Amino acid sequence: MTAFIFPDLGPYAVEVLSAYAGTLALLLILVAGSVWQGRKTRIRLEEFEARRTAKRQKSTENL
Amino acid sequence: MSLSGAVLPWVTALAVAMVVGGLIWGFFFTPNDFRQGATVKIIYIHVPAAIMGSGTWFMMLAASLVWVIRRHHVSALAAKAAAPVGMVFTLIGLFTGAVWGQPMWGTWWEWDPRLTAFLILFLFYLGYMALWAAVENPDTAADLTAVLCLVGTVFAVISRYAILFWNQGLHQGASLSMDAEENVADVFAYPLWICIIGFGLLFICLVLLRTRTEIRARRLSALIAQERMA
Repeated sequence: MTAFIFPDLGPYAVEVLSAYAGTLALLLILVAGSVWQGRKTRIRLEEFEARRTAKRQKSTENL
Repeated sequence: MSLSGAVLPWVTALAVAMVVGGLIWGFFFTPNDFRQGATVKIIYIHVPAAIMGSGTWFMMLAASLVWVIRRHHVSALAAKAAAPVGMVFTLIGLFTGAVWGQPMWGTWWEWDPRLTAFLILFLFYLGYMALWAAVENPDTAADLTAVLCLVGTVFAVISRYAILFWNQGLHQGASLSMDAEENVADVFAYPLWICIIGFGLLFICLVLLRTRTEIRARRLSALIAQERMA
């Protein structure tokens, strides 16, 4: 089995690693924010629609 | 909504596979450049992010034109949904460009036509998002942002094509072109292409997700308004 070798970045290790770390952090924030916002909106809409349906059913029963 | 819901998981899986695969290939399994050393590895994030940064604006332009001509609400919402994605890609392009430029050019920043146009494009993204947030009526917001998008297209074009007609500045020519003499070596080009396709798929996946959110948010606000009026 060959051992895993981390590439030799020489004198530019800080630049290369910070570029990758910054990019991954920004992408992570974007993806997590989009998913969180999407989930929050979906739940709010579903709750509202459920409440609305229940309200309508109740008013139909009262008739 | 049903079509985008069915497509989304597949696009997401493909985007993750290509971005992760391309970055691992580029970072771990490509050699250092004889002149730029290990900084060449920044190409796998800088180039795809910069392409998507200006590409997103063109997508927003197309969606805005559909809104202006056909008054199709989903196109306006798609443009709105794409803006934060394009803004982040542009920011990544600027950040990685500065980090790459420092050791290669000896400066983090240069008022080069391409770099300056890209910075202005980033500011246009911020302005576009701020305008959407500031105007209460969604149709008016869509109209105003469509005009802003049209104006900002000038800088999207310059940031992408400045090197072809503006013969000055530090930024080098195209990394990938039809001219074989200008191209990067194949050993760098293959993982780079995978990263570009991966970033493109990531863009599609995020825009689909965010557009679905915008449609739901619009429906929710319409229902709330309807209930208040009843």
